Amino acid sequence: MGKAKDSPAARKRRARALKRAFLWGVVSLAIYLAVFLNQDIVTRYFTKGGVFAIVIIVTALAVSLVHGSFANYTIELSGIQPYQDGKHQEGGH
Amino acid sequence: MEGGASDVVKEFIGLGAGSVVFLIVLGFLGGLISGFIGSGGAFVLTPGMMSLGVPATVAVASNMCHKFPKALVGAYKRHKFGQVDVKLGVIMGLSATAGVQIGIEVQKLILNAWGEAGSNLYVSLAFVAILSVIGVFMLIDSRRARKSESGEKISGLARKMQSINLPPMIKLKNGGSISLWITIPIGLGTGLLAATIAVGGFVGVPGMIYILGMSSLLASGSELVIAFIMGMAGTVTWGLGGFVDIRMVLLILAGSLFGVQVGAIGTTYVKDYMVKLVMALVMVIVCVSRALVLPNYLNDLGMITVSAGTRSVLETTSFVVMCFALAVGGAIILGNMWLRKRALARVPLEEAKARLLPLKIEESKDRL
Repeated sequence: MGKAKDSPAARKRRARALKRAFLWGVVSLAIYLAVFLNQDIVTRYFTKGGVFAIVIIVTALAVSLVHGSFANYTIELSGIQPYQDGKHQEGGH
Repeated sequence: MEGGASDVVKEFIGLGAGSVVFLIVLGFLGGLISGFIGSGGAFVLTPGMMSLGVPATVAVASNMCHKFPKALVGAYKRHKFGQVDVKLGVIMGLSATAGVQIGIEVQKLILNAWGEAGSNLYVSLAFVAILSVIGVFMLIDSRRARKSESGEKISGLARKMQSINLPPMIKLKNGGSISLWITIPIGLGTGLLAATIAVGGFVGVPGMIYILGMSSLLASGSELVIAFIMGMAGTVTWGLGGFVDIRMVLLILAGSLFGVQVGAIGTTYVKDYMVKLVMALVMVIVCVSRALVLPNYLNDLGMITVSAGTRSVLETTSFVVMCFALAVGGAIILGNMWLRKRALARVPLEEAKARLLPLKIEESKDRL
């Protein structure tokens, strides 16, 4: 297992996951900061009802993509991988 | 609980650091359970938000809004492991959405007839009646499956259901086919329960296992598709009324999008019966939690007398027990993953030893 971790392929995968976790993390943080630094305005508009229901759906889907991707690559970097066919699956996303 | 209530106050509380951390941790644990058993993480979020002072309708609406993106991510992850029957999930999601509307109307009828106390009593009785029966049954079945060398078996009822040839027939991912007309009541029941106690999967997943004949892993994975469709439809309904607090949704998602993916990965470390076991344990503990507050609602209806002090103790204990259900589920999932990882870390050493043995035999032959 130690040898598999140090292989060039594994190092390349980790580097890619780190880069992607960083990029998605920055975008996710930007979304959260945008909402929470302007929470009064955001709350006012998101609770207006009517057509703003679509904005809620779009926001939730956008966060699932951005933050979900950040979570995915972070989990991969932590070493938590799916286990199938008797072995760990590298690159669990 | 999940009914239209335009006459209820819409209030959006201030969020301190403690509330933020609480919602993220609750979201993570709820997501972990959902990713593993297909549902069940949401039941503690509504009372969790209400414990922070959030009105019930805003809590229910925000919970619903977090559910569908979490379910989407969880379903995607489990689909990659081959654990989702997308077609069946979509079909049942549609009937579940209809079931939610029926559930909402039932809630309105009870609210009009017996007021909020009557509605709370109805919800708690539903919790206790349904979760106790199904939870105990699944607990017994999971123990049987664990002891059995052949593992999970399709139930006799599911065999009979699959033998009914009433078109249109739906081909199941793990083999066999089932009539659409048999899936509809399960979908409706899932939606009805979701509208009543916020967790439709406690009927949906056992229904798919014991009536449709799906494996636990496939049923729990497909439930996430149903949860996605129900959640999105419900969010539109609540969003139109302006009840969703997007800040709380985002905080819960901050934790649950991690939890649901870890839970999904966790299913690859365990045998089918473990999904049943975790679901059964969570259901039984939540059942106890809801049973604890029944006296309070009976008191509100004037049927018995409960002192203010006793009332407070029962409510607090109920909430703690509900959180305990999440903690137990989380501990079993993470514990199993950790144990399997440790076992895997030992395998290369044993494999190396096994490989060395033939070499040693060859060396011995050379020396002879």
